[in-house]
Amino acid sequence: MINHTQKPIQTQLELSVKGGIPLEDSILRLENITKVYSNGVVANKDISVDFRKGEIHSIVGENGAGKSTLMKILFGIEQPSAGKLYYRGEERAFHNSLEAIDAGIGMVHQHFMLIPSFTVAQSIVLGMEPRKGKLFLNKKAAVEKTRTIAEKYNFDIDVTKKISELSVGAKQKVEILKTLYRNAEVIILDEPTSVLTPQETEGLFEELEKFRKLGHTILFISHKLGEVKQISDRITIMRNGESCGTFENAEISMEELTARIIGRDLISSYDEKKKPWPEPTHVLSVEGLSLSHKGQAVLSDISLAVKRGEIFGIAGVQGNGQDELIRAIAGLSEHTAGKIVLNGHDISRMTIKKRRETGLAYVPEDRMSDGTAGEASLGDNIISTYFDRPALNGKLFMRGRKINAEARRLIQEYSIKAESPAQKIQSLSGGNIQKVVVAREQNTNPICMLAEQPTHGIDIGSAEFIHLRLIEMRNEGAGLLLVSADLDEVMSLSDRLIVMYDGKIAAYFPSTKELSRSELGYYMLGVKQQTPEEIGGALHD
Amino acid sequence: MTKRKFSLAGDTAFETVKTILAILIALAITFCVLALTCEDPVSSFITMLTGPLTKMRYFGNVLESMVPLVFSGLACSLLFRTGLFNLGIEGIYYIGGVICSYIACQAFGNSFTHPLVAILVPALISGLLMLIPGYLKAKFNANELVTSLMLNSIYLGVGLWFIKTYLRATDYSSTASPLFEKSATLPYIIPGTRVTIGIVLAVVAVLLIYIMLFKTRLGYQIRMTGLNPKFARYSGMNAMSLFLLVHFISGFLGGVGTSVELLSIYSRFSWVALPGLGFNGALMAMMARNNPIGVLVVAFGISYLQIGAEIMSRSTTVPVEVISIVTATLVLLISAQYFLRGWREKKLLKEGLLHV
Repeated sequence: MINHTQKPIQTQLELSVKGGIPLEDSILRLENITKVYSNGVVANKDISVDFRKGEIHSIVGENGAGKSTLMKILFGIEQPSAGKLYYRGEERAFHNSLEAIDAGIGMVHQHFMLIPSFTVAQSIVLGMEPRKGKLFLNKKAAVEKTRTIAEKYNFDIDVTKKISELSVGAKQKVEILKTLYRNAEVIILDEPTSVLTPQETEGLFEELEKFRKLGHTILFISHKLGEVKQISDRITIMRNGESCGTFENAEISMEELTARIIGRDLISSYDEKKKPWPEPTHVLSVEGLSLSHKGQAVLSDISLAVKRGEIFGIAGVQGNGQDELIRAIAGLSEHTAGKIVLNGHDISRMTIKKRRETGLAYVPEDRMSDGTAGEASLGDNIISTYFDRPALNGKLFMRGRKINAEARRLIQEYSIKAESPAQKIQSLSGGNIQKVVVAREQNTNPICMLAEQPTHGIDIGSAEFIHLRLIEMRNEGAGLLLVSADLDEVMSLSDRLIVMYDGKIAAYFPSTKELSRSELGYYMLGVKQQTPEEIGGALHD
Repeated sequence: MTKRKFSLAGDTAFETVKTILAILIALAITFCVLALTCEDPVSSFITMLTGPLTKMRYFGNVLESMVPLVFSGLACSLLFRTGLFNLGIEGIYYIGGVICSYIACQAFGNSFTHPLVAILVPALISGLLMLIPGYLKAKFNANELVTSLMLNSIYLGVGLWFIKTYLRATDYSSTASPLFEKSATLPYIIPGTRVTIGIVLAVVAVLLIYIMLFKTRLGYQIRMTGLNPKFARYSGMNAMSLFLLVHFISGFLGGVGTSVELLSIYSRFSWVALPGLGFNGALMAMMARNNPIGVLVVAFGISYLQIGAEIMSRSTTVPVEVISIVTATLVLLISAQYFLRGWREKKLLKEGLLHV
C-alpha cells in the first residue's frame, strides 16, 4: 500500500517562486543499488547517488553502462536486487510504475508510448480521466484540464489534435505533459534529444529550464555530451554498471568528462583517416524508386548513386522513408517502381541471397530483431550471411572447428567482449552485439554496404571503432550508404550527403565540409527544399 | 577470454536442476494422491517406481511403448524448432497407419521387403501430406496450427471411409482391417518381450535428426529460422523451401512412427478415432525443449512411469490414470518460464558480485 502524503504541486510552485527551496535539499536518494538480470548480466553495481530538488541532473555513460536500468529501477519497472531507495527521506520500494507515478515520478521514454488515433487531451488524461458520475468520461473537462496545464507550463500545443498528426517534437511535449498532469516532481527523460532536430532540442531545453525554476527535478539521460554540458547542474557518470562519481557541471571540463566515460580521448574528425579511391565509378545506383503502402506514398522518385570509395550519407529525422529505402535496396521489402543497380547488375527483383552474392552487405537498424538471433550463440550469429561458404563446410557437415576458429578470429579482430563463441549473443552488451553484426557484414568483403543507424544506442568506444571500420571499408574501395539520425555521425563520416523528408530527397550536398547543423535542420524539418536540379546531383555527380 | 566457472545458475546446468526438481515435485504430488486414496501408499508407490525393472517382459513393455512417442516427439520437435506450431502429426499417425495397413494386408515380398515397403511408402506419402499445411504456411502465411488441426479431422474421416469401404474385415464385429500378412509384421528381437526392430529405428532416427540439426547447413537454417525468422530472412535464407522441407521430414518421421507401431504391436488396424500418439509427441517435444536426445530420454521416462502405473494398478485399487498427474505436473513445471527464476537470480547475484 502507498501510505504517504503527497504535497500538491501548487505548494511546490509557490515555494519555488519565493525561492524557498534550498539547493541541497535531497528529493531522491539511491543507496548501494545493485541489479542482476536473470541472464547473469550485472547491470548496476553498488550505485549511490543523490538527486536534489530543483536541479537538472544528467546521467551520462556509454550505452550498456547501466543508465537505463537505473532509471527503470527509479520508475518501478525493474526491482533492484539489493540496495535502498529513499524518496523525500522515506525508504521506498516501487513495485511497478504506477506506484512511482503516484509518488510523483514521471518518465518520458525514448520510444514514445502514445496511441496514434487519440487526441492530445485523451492521451494526456489516459488512465486518470475526469469522469461524469462514475461511469462516463468527461471529454470537455479533459480538454480543459489539459489546456490549463499546457498554458501553465507555456506549451504551445493544440490539445484537440490527433497524435498521428503531430511532429516528433510535439509528441515528446505530450509525453512531458502526461507526467506533469500526474503531478510529477521528478521527471526522467531517457535520451530525449535522439529523435529531435537541433531546433526542437533548443525548444526542449528552454522548457527544462522552466521546470527547474518551478522546482521540478529533471533526470536527463544522454550520451550527447555537448547537450549535457549545456543543460546540467550536476552530472553523474556511469561506466560498466558502476557510478564514477557525481560532479558539479561547472567543475568538470568536457575533456575530463569524456575521459571519465570512456577512459581515453576520442578522434573528433575522421578526415585525415579518409583516403581517395582511384576509380570512383558508380557501385550502387537507385533510379526513380517509389514505394507506396496502403495507397500512401512512402517513397517518391528517389534517385541516387553511391561511388566506390565513398560514404554516401542520408540524414533526416527517423521515419521519413530512410528505413523503407534501405529495406527496398536490401530486398526485405518490395518497391512499386524504379530500378536498383548494383555493380552493373539490376538487382531490383533479385532474392536477398542473390543480392548478397552480388556484393551487398547490410547493417540493419534493429540489431536484435533483424541483425541477430538473441538465443543463438555468438558463433552461429557471426556466420549467418555466409554459413554455406566452402571454407566452413565439408560435403555433408558444417565444420564446427573451422567456424569456431573464424568466430574467435573475428572476436579478437573486432575486440568483442565475449567469453567464447558459444555464448548466447543476447548476453553481450549492445555495443558488442553491434560489433558482431559489423564483423559479419564486413567479413563477406562486400563492394557495397548499407549501414543503417550503425551506432544507434551503443557506447562511444564501440561507436568509434565501428566508424573506423566503415572508413576502412571505404578506403578499400567499397561504396557505403549510411543512414543516420545522428547528425554528428552522418556529417563526420559522409563524403556526400542527402537529407530525406517525407519520403523525398529534400537536399543534396556534394560535400559535408562547410555544412552547418542548423542548415541541415531546416531541410530535416521540411522548412527548406532544394530544386530538382540541385537534388539531381545525388545521381549524376 | 576467460572461462566461466561452473555454476548451477548457468544455462545448461540450470535447465538440468529445474528438470530434476520438476520430476521430484511431480513424484511427491503423486505420492500425496496415493496417500489420500489408497490403503498402502508406500508399497504402491514403490511398485510404480520399480515395477518395470522386476521382469524382462515389463521392461520390454517400456521399450515398445516409447517407440511411437519417440517418432512423433521428433517430428514435433523439428517443427517447433523451426518456429512452426503444427500439431498435424496426430492426423498423419492415422492416415499413415491406414496406408501401412493396406500394404500390410496385401500378400507380396518376403519378411524383409514387405515391412520395408509397408514402412517406406506410408512414410513418403505422409511426408507429402504434411506439405499441405507447409505449403499453405509458406505461400499464404496460413496459420499452421489451424490448418493442421483441420487436416487431422479430414484425415480421420478419409481414413475411416477407406477402411470401411475397401479394407473392412468381414469376419470381425467392429470396424477394423483384416489381419496383417505374417510377412509384414516385425519380428521380436529380445526374447521374452515384444520389442521389435522399431526401437533400433527410433534410436537411429534420434541420432540422425540430432546430427542434421546441429551439424548440417539445413539444421543451422532450421535453428536460426526458429529462433528469429526475421533474422534468417535478413541473412538470405529461404523460409519457403525450409518450411516445406521441414514439413516433409516431419511427416516422414510420423509415417515411419505409425507404421512401426502398427507392424510391431497390432495384428490388424482397429483405430476408429485419432490415436493420441501425435499429440503426445507434442508433449514429448515440449518437455525435451525440442532436443532430439531429450525426446528419447523423455519418451523413455514417460513410458517407464506409464508401465509402472499399469503394474501398480493391477496389484492395488489405484487406477492407471494416476500417471496423468505426474505427466501434467511435469509438463507444467518444465514449461513454466518463471519456475525457480527467483532462486536463479539470487544465485547469480552472489556469484556475479564475486567474479564479474
